[in-house]
Formats: sequence, structure tokens, C-alpha cells
Amino acid sequence: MRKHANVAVKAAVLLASTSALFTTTAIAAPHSASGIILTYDLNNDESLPLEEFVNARRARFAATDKNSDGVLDESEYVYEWEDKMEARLASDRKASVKQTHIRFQAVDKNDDDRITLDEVQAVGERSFAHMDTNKDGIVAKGDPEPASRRAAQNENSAPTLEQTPMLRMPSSHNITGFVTLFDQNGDEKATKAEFNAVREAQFKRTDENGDGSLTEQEYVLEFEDRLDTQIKKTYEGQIKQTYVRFGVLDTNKDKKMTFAEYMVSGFAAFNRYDTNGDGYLTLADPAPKPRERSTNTNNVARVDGNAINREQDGE
Amino acid sequence: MKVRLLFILAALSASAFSHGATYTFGSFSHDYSAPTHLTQNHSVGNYSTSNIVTVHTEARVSKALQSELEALVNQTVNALRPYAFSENDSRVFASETRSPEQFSSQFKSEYKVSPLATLNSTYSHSLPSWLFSAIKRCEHWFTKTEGNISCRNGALFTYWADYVAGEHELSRKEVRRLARMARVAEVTLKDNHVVSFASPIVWDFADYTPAVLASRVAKALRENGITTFHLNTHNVDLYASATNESWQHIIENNNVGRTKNVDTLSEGSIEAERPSAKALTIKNGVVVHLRPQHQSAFMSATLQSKEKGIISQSDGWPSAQFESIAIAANAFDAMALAHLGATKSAQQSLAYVDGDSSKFGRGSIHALRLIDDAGRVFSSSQFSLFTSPSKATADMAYFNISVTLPMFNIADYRGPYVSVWLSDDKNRLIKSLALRGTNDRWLNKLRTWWRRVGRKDEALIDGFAGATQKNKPLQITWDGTNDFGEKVQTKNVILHVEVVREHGGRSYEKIPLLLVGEFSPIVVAGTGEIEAITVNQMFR
Repeated sequence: MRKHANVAVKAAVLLASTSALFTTTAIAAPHSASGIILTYDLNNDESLPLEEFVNARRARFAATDKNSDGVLDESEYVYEWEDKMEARLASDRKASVKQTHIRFQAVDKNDDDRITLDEVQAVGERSFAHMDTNKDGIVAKGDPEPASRRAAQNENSAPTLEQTPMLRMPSSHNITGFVTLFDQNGDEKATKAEFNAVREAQFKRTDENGDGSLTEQEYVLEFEDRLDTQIKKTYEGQIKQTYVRFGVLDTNKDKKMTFAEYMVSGFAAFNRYDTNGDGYLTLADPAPKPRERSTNTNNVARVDGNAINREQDGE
Repeated sequence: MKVRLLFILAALSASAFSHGATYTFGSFSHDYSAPTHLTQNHSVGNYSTSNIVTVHTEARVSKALQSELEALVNQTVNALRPYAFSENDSRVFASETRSPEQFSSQFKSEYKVSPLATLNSTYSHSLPSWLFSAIKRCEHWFTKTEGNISCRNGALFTYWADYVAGEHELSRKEVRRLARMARVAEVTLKDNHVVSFASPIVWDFADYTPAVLASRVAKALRENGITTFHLNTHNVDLYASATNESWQHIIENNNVGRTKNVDTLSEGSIEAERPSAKALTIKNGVVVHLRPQHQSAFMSATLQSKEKGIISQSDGWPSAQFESIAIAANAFDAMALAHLGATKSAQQSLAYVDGDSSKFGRGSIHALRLIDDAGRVFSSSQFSLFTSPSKATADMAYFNISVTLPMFNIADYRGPYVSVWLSDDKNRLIKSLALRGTNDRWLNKLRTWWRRVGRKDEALIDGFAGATQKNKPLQITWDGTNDFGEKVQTKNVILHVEVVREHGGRSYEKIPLLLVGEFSPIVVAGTGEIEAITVNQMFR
């Protein structure tokens, strides 16, 4: 844990602190096609040739087709996705709670197993300074975005295969998210006083026995409340989106999806991520050009051309 | 509960108890109805517990005492019902109105209001001394465990009952809210056995009724001159011997088959010669064994939740991380410790036994063993002392390993990540002894440990790792077993100690230990992040 490590741990602590008291896991640089490779690379060699992909898609299609009539109806399609989604949300939840315990330790600077308001404010001081990019003491919509610590941290690390978390907590790591969380009077600005007031209120809410300090249990249980709210929201949004996706993929609108229709989205996704066009999805494929995306992915059902790709990576 | 009765009868016929007799008391069950939307003819959701006490003893239990014990079991179970009940109706009704007078006027006179139900409906009530003691003990645990052990969660269990009955979906947020409501309520225990509280809580001994029953029956037996006996209720085994004899407790086959007097067993008895992980030898004490992986989190007479585990009293959600075997001087402490073991991380619950156990009264909680899904065993340091035949215990060597860590007088000092483990001479893991630090990102800076152990075993980290603790020295007892609780056969083991600190460096020491012949104490002066390591062999 020498020099390089020191930089990283500071970054970790700061990342941990920027969303009010709490936020979700910082993830190592996942490769952009991770979701597809992890889902369909059945021999686990981290390489997904088109043929393996088609076979795995066919197997998945067959497993989804519960009544084995050769086509998927809407309920079969949604049901299958619901199962996958539940598993992923459960695993995201577990990771998130684990991270919350770690965050408690990071904020508890003096290792006395209690977080005091001073410790919270000390962390807040640094996060506010980080977000206040133009140093005018106010974080306002339109301010320049702060440099992403995660990107800086990962720029030299090799990409890894990691499923993108389906569960994402509201972020305060960008100006919009930060202002949304901390602006109290609706002027689209978060002052230091507003920021501190929100954090203090959150501290008090978390301190269930009102003794002026937070135990690890208090800290984690408060976070779990918000986590479960977000899971419910994500779940409902996902289900809604799955119906929309079915509609888009069912091109002839007969409420039955054939394997050919099913594969339209499959091929589109494969081609999108096989950026070097060699017929294999691997870690060596450079990331594709980012597509336009709205900030709130959970509630917006998309029907644009990209919607069909979303099935693969579960966005 | 016919099923339960059959089980007990089957269990008795398989008993290895060669002499003496077996007595069973209280073969009944009761169902609880939820307190919401109460109408007389409509019970919404119910759960049931069966409370059967089986006593094995070589002493003669007179007919009179048998009747007395039967009455005691009935009286205890009825007194612990959180809501009003009728002996002619398996349903137990709860009152929406919170006054017992109003309540009884709503129902036929046959409905009885237990002391606990009265307390629940009046917020303040004077209790029989045994019940007051039970609440007091529970509240003691409540305070010491930040509400992880609680007898206040009746509302939570009603919610689960309604869920199991299909009344509503299960909301994780809602169960947490109910547990929190009960947790933050202020409770006063007064000298005159009065319990009072200001905000609504529903006292409920669902999880602890067997423990209270066991204690009361044991007390009654002793008062009647019966001092050597084995008593079993749901998940609880209480062993008593006036002459401090040993009992063999077999932890397979649903707890059936027990043999007394291990020390005097015939030569051929393998268990007596080589205590295995499957059989424990117990002196006076109580064993509570919970298998959350194999039980529904919530059961009624006819329905059970699909969720497995034991409902955590602090967040209302089932946990099934560990099978838990707790040993204590009394039944309530054993039950509470077992619950803690099943629902908390290994480091947290083992710390209650190994750490500051004095807060539970000197010597009242003895030992805890946790078993994870992979069969890995985590034991408190004194576990083998409490569970081996005295002959084996006397011969058994164990090792005290102490690791001291230097203090660095710097502003941003953080407690180091530490791993201590044993391997064979081919670097294959034998046993994980200690792991401080929970963040993967820093655990992997314990490079040697990470490469050989950590990266392959997420479950180990999840179950075993605990928080960093500044430079607090590590005091580790190794009883000569491997991760799975089996005796280590190899004679050459290697002790590994690796320490890494934020803003600091990494240090790693490996020390070969020869397990044959006379063991000379080892003292190694460390460098960097390790101050010193000492290893001593001890004999009981």
C-alpha cells in the first residue's frame, strides 16, 4: 500500500462521501460488453464468438418458451426477465449493503465504532469542495462537471468483465444530481448552508436513539431503507420497460415473438459491441460510441432504436 | 400438532438412553391470530408454536410431579401468549382496543387474557416474578446487542403471519420499520415487577418460549430433588447432573439419541475416544442448536414462508448465514446467543463470547460454533473446552497465538488489515484464524493471503472478516482443527501473518510449527507493520 495505493484510498473515501452520507458502490472499470459476454459466454473463456452467442440465445429462447410452442408470448418474455432481474437486484443489494459497512469504517476516522456529526461534516467539507468546481461557494446547475475520480483511478487498469449494476442510487457525483439532492429552495443552486442542513437532517434521522452518534447498525439500516425504495422503483421501471421492449421486438405485432424477431435485438447488440468487427466479443473490443441517454434510466421507457439493445445488458 | 407428536414419539423410540424413563409434557400447540381487522369469527393469519418438553431421567418422577410439570408447562405457555386466547379454540385473539375490560366484553367469557397479553394491552403491568425475570433478561440482551435480541417484536411477527396467510406482500422496508418501532420504544422495569412502556410494543416470546419453558421445568425438577436429567424442548437441550457428569450430545438426526456418562462408556465407543464434530460432550449446561438454512423463516400450523432462515430481531428479515450451536449456563442465554450467531456476522457474534463476555454475567455464556454453507466451522476460543470429554480435554493441546502491532504516531493512522492463517507445507489452507478488514479493495493488498486464499473465497470474507481494530493485539486460540472442525493430521503446519496498513506498508511473516514432540514457545520479532508474534502450546 505505497504511493499509488494512498491516492486510491483517499479517492475511495471521497467517493464514499459525496452523496449526502451515503452512496452506492464504486465499481472497477467494467468492460462495456461485460453484460453480454457474462450472460452468453457459456464456456467462460471471456471470448464470445457469434456462433456461441447464437447457440446460447437459442437455449435461452427455448428456456423462456415455457409452453414450448416455438414462440414467446408477452407473459413468458416478461416472466423470464423478472427472474433474472430479481437475481441481479438481490446480488446488487448485497454488494451495496456490504459497501455501506465499508463506508461506515471509512467515515469513522477515529475507529471508535461511532460516526459523529463532526466526522460527517469533515467528509462533507471535502465533497463540497470537489463539486464546487468554480470555487464560488455554490454548486449550481451549469457549473462545470467535476473530474470523475473513478475514471482517473481506473485509467491504467485493464478492463474486466463485470455486470453493470442494475440497482443505481440517485447520484450526487454530477452537478445535476448534487443540486437535486441539496437544493432546498428550488433556485437550482446548492449553497454550503443548504448542503450542511440536508446532511445534518439526514444524520438526525439516522440516529434512531438520538444520542448524537451513529452506530454501524443505525447507519446501515437507514441506507437499506433508501436502497429498498430504489429497488422497488427499479423493479417497477424494469417491468414496464420489458413490456415496451416486447412490443418493439414483436415487429409484426401478433403478440408472439419468433426466434428471428428475438434475434433482431441479439444481432444488433452483438454488432454494436463487436467494435473491431472480428465476429468475437472480447475484452479487446474498444468501447462503442456512447449513445444518448437520459439521466433517469429507471422510469423512462424507451422506444427509440436503441431500445432493442437494452435487453442484453439489462439497462 | 399431530405431526409434532409423532415426531416426538419416534424420537423417543430411537433414544439411546439405556436406563431411566422419559416423560413428555405439554403436547399442544397454539395459533395466534393477527390483531388487525379483528372480528370474532374471522381470524386473519396465524402462526403456531408447539411446546413440548421431554425429560429423560433415571430418577423416578412421581405421578403427582408429572401432573405438576404438565400444569407448569401449560401455565407457562399460556402466560406467554401475547394476545388473549381460548383453550377451546386454537385461535388466539388479539384486541384492537387496548383495554382488557373492553376486550373481554367483546368475547365469550372463555377467552383468557394472559399476563403478557395484559401487559401488551395496558402498557404497564405487574408480572409474575418468573415472567418479569424473563423480560429483564431479554431486555439485558436487547441493550447489549443494540436490539438484535428482542422480545418486543410481536407486531413484526403479526406482519409475517399476515404475509404467510396471503394477506399482503412482504416488504423489506416495512419489516424494518416494525422492528425499528419496537427498538426505539422506551421501556422501564421497576423493582416491584412492573414493566411499563410509553409507545406501542407487543411483547412476544415466540423465539424464546422453549428456553423459558426449559428453565422453569428444570427448576421444578431440582426443587423436587431430581438433579440429574436431560431435558429437551424445541431446539433446546438442557443437561443437568448433580455430580457434574458428562453428557453426550449428538448433533445429527434431529437431535435424537443421547448417551449419558461419556467418561464411563465402554472401550468400543468411538465417540467417547475421539470426539467428533458430530457429537459434543457437555457437562451442566444448555445447548441450543439452530439450523436456519433448513427452516422456514415463519411457520403457522398449516402454512410456511418460502423464505428460509431466522428472522433477525433488528431488521425483521430472515438470515440464514450460519448454522448456530450455542452453549450457555442457562437456556435463555443459550437461545439468545444461538440467535445472534445465526443472524449476525461470525466476527460480531463470536466477539460476544470471546470478547467482553463479562457483560452477560461471569461465565453465563460459554461457547458458540457457527457452520456456514460450505461446512466451514467458526468456533469461539473455548468451544472445545466445553464440548470434549474431560479425558480428551485434559490431553488436548492447543495453541495460543499472539500478534502485536506497532502504533504509528501519525495523524491519519488507520487500523491495519490483518490476516492470520495456517497452511500445510504446500501452502494449502488449513484454517483461517483471523481476518481484520472487510473491503475487497484493501483485502487484496494482503497480497500473499489474497493470492492463496482470499480471491478464491468470497464466502469466507463475507462470513468471517471483521472490522479493523487499530493496533489492538490479536489473541488467537487454535484448537488443532481445520476449517471444517476436523483434527489436523499433518505434523508440519505453517503459521502465516500478513498485515497491511493504509498510508503504511505491508509485512508478512511465516512461521513453521512442528506439531510432534515437545513444542518450544516461539517468539518472532516482526518488522514494519508487525511488532511481534508469539506461539505457545497450552494444555488444559
